[in-house]
Amino acid sequence: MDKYIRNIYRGVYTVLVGMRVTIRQFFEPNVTHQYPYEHDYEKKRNVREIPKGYRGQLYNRIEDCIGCKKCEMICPVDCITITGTKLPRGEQLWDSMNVVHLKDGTEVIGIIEGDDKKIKSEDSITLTNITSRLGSQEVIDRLEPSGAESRTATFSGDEVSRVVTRNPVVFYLDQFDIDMSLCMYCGLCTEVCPTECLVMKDSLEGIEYSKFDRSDLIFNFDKQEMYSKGGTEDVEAAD
Amino acid sequence: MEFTLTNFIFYGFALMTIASALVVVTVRNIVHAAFSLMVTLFGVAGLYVFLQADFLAATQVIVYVGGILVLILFGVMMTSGRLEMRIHIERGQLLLGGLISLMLLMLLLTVIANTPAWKNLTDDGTELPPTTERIGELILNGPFLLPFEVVSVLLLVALIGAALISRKEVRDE
Amino acid sequence: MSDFRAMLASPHFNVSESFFPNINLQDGLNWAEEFIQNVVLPRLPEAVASHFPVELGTVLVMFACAGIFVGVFPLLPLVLVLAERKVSARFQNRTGPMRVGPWGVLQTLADGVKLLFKEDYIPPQGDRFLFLLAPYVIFACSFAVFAAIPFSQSILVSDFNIGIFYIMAISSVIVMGVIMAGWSSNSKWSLLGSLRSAAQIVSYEIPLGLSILTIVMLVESLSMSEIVASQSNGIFSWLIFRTPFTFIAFFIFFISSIAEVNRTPFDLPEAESEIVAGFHTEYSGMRFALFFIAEYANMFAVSAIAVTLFLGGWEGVLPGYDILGGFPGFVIKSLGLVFLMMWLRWTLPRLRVDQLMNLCWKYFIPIAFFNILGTGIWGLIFPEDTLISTSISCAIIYIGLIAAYKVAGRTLAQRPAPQPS
Repeated sequence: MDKYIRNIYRGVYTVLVGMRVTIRQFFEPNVTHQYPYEHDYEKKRNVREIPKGYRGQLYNRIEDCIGCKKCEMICPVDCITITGTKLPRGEQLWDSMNVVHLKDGTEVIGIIEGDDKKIKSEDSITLTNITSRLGSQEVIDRLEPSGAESRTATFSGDEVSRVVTRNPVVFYLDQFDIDMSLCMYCGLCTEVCPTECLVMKDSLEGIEYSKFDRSDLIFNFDKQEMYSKGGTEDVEAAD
Repeated sequence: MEFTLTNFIFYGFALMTIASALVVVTVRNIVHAAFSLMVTLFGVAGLYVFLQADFLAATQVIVYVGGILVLILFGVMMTSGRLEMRIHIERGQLLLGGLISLMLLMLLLTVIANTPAWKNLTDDGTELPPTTERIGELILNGPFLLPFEVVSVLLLVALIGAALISRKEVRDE
Repeated sequence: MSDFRAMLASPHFNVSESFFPNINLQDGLNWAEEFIQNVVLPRLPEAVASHFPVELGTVLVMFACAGIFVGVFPLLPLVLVLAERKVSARFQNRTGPMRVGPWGVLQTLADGVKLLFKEDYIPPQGDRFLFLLAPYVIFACSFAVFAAIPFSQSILVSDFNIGIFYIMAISSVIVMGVIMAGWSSNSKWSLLGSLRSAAQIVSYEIPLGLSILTIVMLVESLSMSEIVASQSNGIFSWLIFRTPFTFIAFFIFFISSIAEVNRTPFDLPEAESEIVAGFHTEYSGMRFALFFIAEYANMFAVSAIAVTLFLGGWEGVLPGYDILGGFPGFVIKSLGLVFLMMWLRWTLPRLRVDQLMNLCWKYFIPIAFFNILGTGIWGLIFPEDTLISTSISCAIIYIGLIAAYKVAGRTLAQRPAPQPS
C-alpha cells in the first residue's frame, strides 16, 4: 500500500516537473530565423556571420581588368567567357585624359592645360574640355562657360587632392560573362588574376542571388558604354 | 395508415433493424455479419426511443455496441484466419433449431397478445416522464433490489475469475 | 447559501445574451409549421392540401439545422489544427507555419485544399465497402456528440434528459469505426492500431464513466443543462470544488478523455514511430481529412464535456456577472483544457501498452470507485450544497494539496532504485 501511494505521488510529481520545464520553454524567444525575410543575423542566437574569404558570387571590377583571359583558361568548368577587341594601330577610343580629385570628393575629368602635368600644391590647375564632373553644385557652378560644349575651370592647388591620368584605350572587352549556374566555386580564377580585379564576394550579396530562370545567372561584367567617349558620366555615376 | 414524420422514422428504424438482422444471418463474411449486427442494435435502440425508453436506448448502444460487439469483433479477428465460411447444418440440428425458433416465436406472440392496453404512446401527444429516475427507484429501492445485487455479485465473480485466469504465474521462491 | 446567493446575484446582466441572440430550435420548428399551415396550404389544391404532411416543414428545418451544424463545426478543427501546430512550435522555440496568410493562419485551409485534390486510394485487397464506410461512422459519431453539449443558455441543439449518458453512448460507437477502418484496410499496421485503439478506449471508458457518475450522484440528473444549472453560484459552486472527491474525479476524467481521443501520451493507436499511422494508415485524401477533423472535433468535445461537468459550463466565476461565463467563457474554458492537452503532449513521452493498462486498471479504476464511495458518504453528511459544505470541501482540497506537496518532497527524497515494472 505504501508503494502504491508512493507510486501515485511520483507519477503526479514527475509529470508536474516535466510540465514546468516545457512551460518555461513556451515563454522563451524562438530561435527560428525567417531567412529570406530577416537579414539581421546578429540579433539571432546561434547564427554566425559570413567568414572572411568565403567563396561567394564572382565579381569582376571591370575598370581594373586587363583582359588577360587567365581566368577563362584556368576555369575547370568553363563558366567564364571573354572576348576582347583590339583597335587597329593608330586608333584609340579617346585621348589621354586627366581626372582631378578635389578634396571635397568631387571628381572632374578634362585635360590639364600646359605641357608640364606635374602638380605642386602652390600651382593652380586649369582644366579644359571638361566632359564629366561629380560633386557639389558649388563646383559645378564654377565650370565656365556653363552649358557649353567645351568647359573650363580653374582650381587652386589647395583644393586638389590628386590627379590621375587616364590613358587612351586601344583594347577593350566586348564580353565578360560569368555563368554562375556552372561555377563550382573553386576560386582558381581569383588566384590567377594578375590585377586582383576578379574576386568572390564574402558578403550577403555573394550568397543571395538565386533566380527563377537559369539564364538570369549569367552575369555580364563588360561595360561597353564605359568606352564610348560621351558616356564617361555613366561610369562615374555607376561607381 | 397516416403519413406522419413519426411513422416515417419508426418504419425506417423497423426496416433497418429487420434488414440488417437478415444480413447478419445470411451473409458469408463473418466480419460483415458483425458490423451488420451493429446496425441491428442501433435500430433496436431507435425503437426504444420510440417507446420513450431513452435510458434503455442509450444503455443498449453503450453496452451492446460499445462493449459486446467490440468483444465479438476482437474474437473474430484474433482467432480465425478464415472469414468466408459455409455453415454446414446436420438434419437433426436443423430440426432442433427450428423447434426452438418456433417456441421463441410463440412466446413473443403470446406476450404481444396478452399485453393489456397496447397502444401507441405518442398518439395523444403526451410525453411520458423520463425513465431514468423510475428505473433507479425500481432497481435500488424497490422490488428488483435482490436480483440486481445477485447479478452484480455474479459479475464480480466473473471479473475475479477473468483476472485470475489472465494473471501471470507467480513463481515460489 | 441562499443569503449569499441573493447578495451576489442582484445586478444581473448577461453579456452573452446581447451578443448571441436566442437560438431556439423549438421556435424554428413552430415557425416552420405555422408557415406551412398559413401560407403554403391555402395555395394548394384541396385534394393535395388534405394529405399534405405538415411535418415536412419540421423535417426541412431539422435538415437546415443539421446543415448549419455540419457546416460550422468542421471550422473548429480547422482552427484547432493551426493552434496545435502553433503551440507545439512554441514549446520547441519555433514559429510554426508562417507562409500561408499572415502568420500562417490560412495554412490549414491550404492543407485541406491539398487533401481534397489528392488521390483517393482504396486498397484493392481490402474490404472496399467497409473501407469507404469507416470514416463516415467516425465522423458522424464525433459530431453527434456536439448535439448534447450546452454552449450557452440558448445555444444548445437538444437538451436530452439523458444528455451525458447519450454522449457516452455515442462516443463508444467511435470504436466500431476504428475497428472497421483497421480491419478493412488489410494492412497489419492498421489492424494493430485498431486493436490497440479498441482495447484502450474500452478500458478507459470505465474510469471515465465512473468519474461522470460522481457528478451524476451530486446533481441527481443526467441532463447536461441541469448539471450546468447546479453550478450557477460562482467558482466555488463548480462541481470540481463541490467535494474533494470530484476534485480527484476531474483529473481522472480529463486524463481518461485524453486516452479516449488517442492523444500523446496515450497515442499508441497512432504511434507513428511504431505502426506508421495506426488505423488510418491506408487512408488518403479527403477520407484521411475526415479522420483528422473527427480527431480534433473529439478533442474539443471532451474538453467541452469536462468544462460542462466540472468547470461550471457556461456559468461564470461570480454569480450574476459574466466573467468567464456565457458562450465566450465556455469556449475560453474549453480551449484552456485543449491547451492543457497540448501542453501534456509536448511534455510526456508515449506510454508502453502495459503501463497504459496498469494506469487504467490498477490506479484509475480503484481511485474512481473510492471517489464514488466518498461522494456517497459526502452526500449523506451534506444533503444540500451549502456554504459550509463548500468551504469544508475547499479547505480539504487545499490542505490535501499542501500535505501532498510536503509529503511528496519527503517521499521522493528517499527514491528507490528504478525497477522494471
